[in-house]
Amino acid sequence: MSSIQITNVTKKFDDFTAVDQLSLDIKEGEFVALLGPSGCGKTTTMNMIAGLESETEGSILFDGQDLSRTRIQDRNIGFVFQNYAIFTHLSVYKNLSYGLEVKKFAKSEIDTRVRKMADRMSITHRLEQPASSLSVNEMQKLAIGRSAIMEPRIFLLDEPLSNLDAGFRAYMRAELKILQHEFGQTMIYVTHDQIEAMSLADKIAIIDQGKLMQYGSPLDIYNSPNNHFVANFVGSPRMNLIDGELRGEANQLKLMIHGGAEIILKGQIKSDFASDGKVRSGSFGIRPHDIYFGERRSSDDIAMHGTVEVLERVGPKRLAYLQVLETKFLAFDDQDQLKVGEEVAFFLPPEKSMAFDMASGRRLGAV
Amino acid sequence: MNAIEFKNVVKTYPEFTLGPINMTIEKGEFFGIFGPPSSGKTSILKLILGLIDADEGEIFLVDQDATELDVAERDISMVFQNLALFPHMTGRENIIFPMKERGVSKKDIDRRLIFVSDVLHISHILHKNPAQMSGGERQRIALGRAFAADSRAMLLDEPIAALDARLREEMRVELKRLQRENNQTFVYVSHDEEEVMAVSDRVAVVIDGKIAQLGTPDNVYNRPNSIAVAEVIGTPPMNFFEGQFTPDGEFFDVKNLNVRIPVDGETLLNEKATLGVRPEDIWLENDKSDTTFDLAISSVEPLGGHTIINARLGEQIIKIRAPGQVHIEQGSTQPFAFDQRRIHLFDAKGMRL
Repeated sequence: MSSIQITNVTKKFDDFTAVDQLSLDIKEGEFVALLGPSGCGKTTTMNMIAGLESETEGSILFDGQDLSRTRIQDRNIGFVFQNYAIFTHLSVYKNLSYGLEVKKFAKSEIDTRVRKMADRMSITHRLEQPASSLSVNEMQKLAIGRSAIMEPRIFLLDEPLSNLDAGFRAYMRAELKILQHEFGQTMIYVTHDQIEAMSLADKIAIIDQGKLMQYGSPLDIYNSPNNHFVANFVGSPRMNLIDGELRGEANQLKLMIHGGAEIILKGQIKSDFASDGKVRSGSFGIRPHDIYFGERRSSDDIAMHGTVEVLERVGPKRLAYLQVLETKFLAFDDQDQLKVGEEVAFFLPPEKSMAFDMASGRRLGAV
Repeated sequence: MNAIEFKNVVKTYPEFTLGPINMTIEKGEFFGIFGPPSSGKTSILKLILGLIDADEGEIFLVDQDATELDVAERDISMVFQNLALFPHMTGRENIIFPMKERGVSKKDIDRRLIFVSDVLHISHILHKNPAQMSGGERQRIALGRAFAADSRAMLLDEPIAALDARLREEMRVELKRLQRENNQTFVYVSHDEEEVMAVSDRVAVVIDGKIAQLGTPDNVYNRPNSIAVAEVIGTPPMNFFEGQFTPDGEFFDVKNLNVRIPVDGETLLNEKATLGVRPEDIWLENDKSDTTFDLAISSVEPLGGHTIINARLGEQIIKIRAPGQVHIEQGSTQPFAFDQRRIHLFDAKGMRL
């Protein structure tokens, strides 16, 4: 177990800045996800932690220690990659014991650890079989087991679940979390899948174009995204982000949206948009499950009218696509009451809404 | 009018038999075919296309016997996951190529091109070569080419599986809109349950070469007719509990849970059966009572809009989908209950009771 302090780290490849002034404080035993679209710099960041790449500027400390002169194999870091490394010609047992044998652990200790790990991963009955006989899913489990058995001080996982089928991915997600809880290892998990990051991590670092966009617990990030990028990236189905021009008339503040429709801003969201007098173009954000139908619940709730364009069954609920002139709003049809093609009124509660500056992307007002 | 009809269609492979398949796809329908990998989905598409012939049974295309039509005459478009664009042609040239080959008039080609460019938002990339496009853009050009052909049916085999999550969400709605505006017949194949359920008017669940259930997404989700279907429809999947009906048939006793469910008494007396409960139909209770059962919380997945709770019941993992954001400690034991009106009972053979 280790804590990691990443301070102002920059990584350049010739003219390209892959990681830009990134700082992260990872506490001992924490499960941190590095989340971002492909090419955002998350894997480069992980590679620097691993020692596979060296930073151009800045420092990475492990328990306050600089390991940049320590050989990678002596850093006691465990890896699991998307393309798992398994010795397919060796037995499952040998795959698990190999690392411990190299490190010259006692036979009895090795046997105890192998059996415990096999039990944990429900592959005890497979121990004597060649690894090549395992299914893809079992191989990925074995790859994780091989690393975990070394009880590394830091565990790095690079998209370890992306080759698995959907059902098994959900299962492994739950298993990984239990594993981490039991071992208490510091884990860093690289993924582009926000659902994976939300469900697994204690903290998420969202990275875009080499820059840290936000660092916090999954619910912090979901409930109060700092900026437009984070708001758009986290949450499924995605947040409604409606762009428009702000226009003040008499005592009113309106967001003029695509195709001539308008959102008349009220309550908290009105003051959020007005909080920076210079902002001309804004983006109005609200999550689909915060939009409601039927009777207006509060006089500040913003009323909209739209046409139900598409209804999708998404798990236990139906997701409605509401067309307001040229703009689409997503909302959940909780009562199973909507019909395709009908005109409906729907409401946007200001206290559940968020304001963003279009130019800079930053969140406006109360955060 | 029927677009595609299968009557007792069987296709035999050395180690696998598809069918007998009976299904009718109506004109203008968005028809989903869902199944786990290697369940026979793609073979069904190949039969429709005419790439393989059935060993038994009949296939009709708009009331014509398909065996009399060769592949070119069937007038069916196809979009594959691994799209094939001509690398030396621009987006525009790729889209109009099949129409030119078929001798469609220039006026009609232009009209179709404008229409599909509009709905697929590709006007700005028509001049590019495939190599200059992103994966999502290439996929949209491939879809555009298939749509522009205006054929009698469109077969889509995992058409958006290669795109990233956000784009996939967007594309599936666009597809649905396109299909509806154009009143085209779509046959949509995917192993992604959520995707098929979201877009389809009706869905065929294919398991081991047979249609295990055919119905609207609501119907398949709310009334799966077997354990096999219930296992693959819904994310996270349905929870199953072994149990037994009481000798008088008035109750169903759930093994491992101190729970007794009243049933109508006309079901199987004293028989063993399986209870299915969807993750959203189990909830956390504040207090213990005679309808609650205790589960040990093994992990919590906060997803923002809802929370997935993984809990242990002996060796079994139970998944619970709680609305909103739940704060609950990993490792603690909590009382849960389930909605006794929203349960699914399956007999010893796994069929719905």
